[in-house]
Amino acid sequence: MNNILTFLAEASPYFQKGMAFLGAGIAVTAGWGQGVGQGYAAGKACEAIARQPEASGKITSTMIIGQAIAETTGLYALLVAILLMFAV
Amino acid sequence: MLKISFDFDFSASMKTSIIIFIILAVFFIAMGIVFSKMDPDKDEVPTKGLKFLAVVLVDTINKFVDEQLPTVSKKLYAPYLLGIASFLTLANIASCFGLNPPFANLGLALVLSLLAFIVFQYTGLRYQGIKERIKGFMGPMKAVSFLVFPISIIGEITTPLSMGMRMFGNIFSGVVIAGILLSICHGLNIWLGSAIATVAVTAILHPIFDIFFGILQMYVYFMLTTMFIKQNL
Repeated sequence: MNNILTFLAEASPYFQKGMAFLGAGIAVTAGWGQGVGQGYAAGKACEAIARQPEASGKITSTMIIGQAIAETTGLYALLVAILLMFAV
Repeated sequence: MLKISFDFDFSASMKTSIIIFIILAVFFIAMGIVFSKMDPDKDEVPTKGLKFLAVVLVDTINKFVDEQLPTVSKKLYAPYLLGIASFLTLANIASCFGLNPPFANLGLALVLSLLAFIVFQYTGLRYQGIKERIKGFMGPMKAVSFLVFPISIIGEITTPLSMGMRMFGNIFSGVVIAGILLSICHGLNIWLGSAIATVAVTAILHPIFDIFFGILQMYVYFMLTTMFIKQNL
């Protein structure tokens, strides 16, 4: 495995940048978990509002805060991707 | 000949921080002067001007601290929470006025983590004491306490760190996405195309990414600080 990588690295001057871009693309696929989690929270909020419409203000603000916290792990993936694209 | 030159070159985020600091310092000193001249026995509730704003702010923060953290010393925690809330609000709105948002800089965002860490440890040490705190780190079951102890210590470090990185990630990604899209719009070669595209993109991007997410992240940071102070009591 070592020989293949050194051979490719010496063969082309763009190998490092190319692998960095590939890694950035793979890093962003961590967004699927964020989408599932936030969508599930929104669905539960819709059910709660359907059960009790007069509490809809409090339910909406709680949902938005919960989604802002669940957004964090997707943001870490975005940070890694940006770091790979612009700083390698 | 000896030439000494000083190189005070602040980064753009630091300049915004200093401007916000000066604005807030002037505002809070004016609030203090207004309060020192008011007499609480005179029974007149002010309805306009700086007095009204000052009374509303202090009443809101005092009610909040009374409701959420009833057993802490209000003299210490209410000013800290009000300062954090006002600094973060102004910092995330600053891009409306042509300044760089301060928390697009990793160093300044990690200062938020450091502040949160110091406040949590201080609260824990003052209201719990060292012995009870270390016993709390060991977890509920004595048998596996040697496994739970490192996880608790890591939890003490990563919770403030994630609070700061959340703010950094939101604001920095807004800046990067705006930069990429605006640099594409700048290169359009149609007649007036780049002007219209820039205005359209900014009008859609800026209220969402900078202002809405900024205010939301301020609220999230504020609520998380309050929650973890309550947890560390």
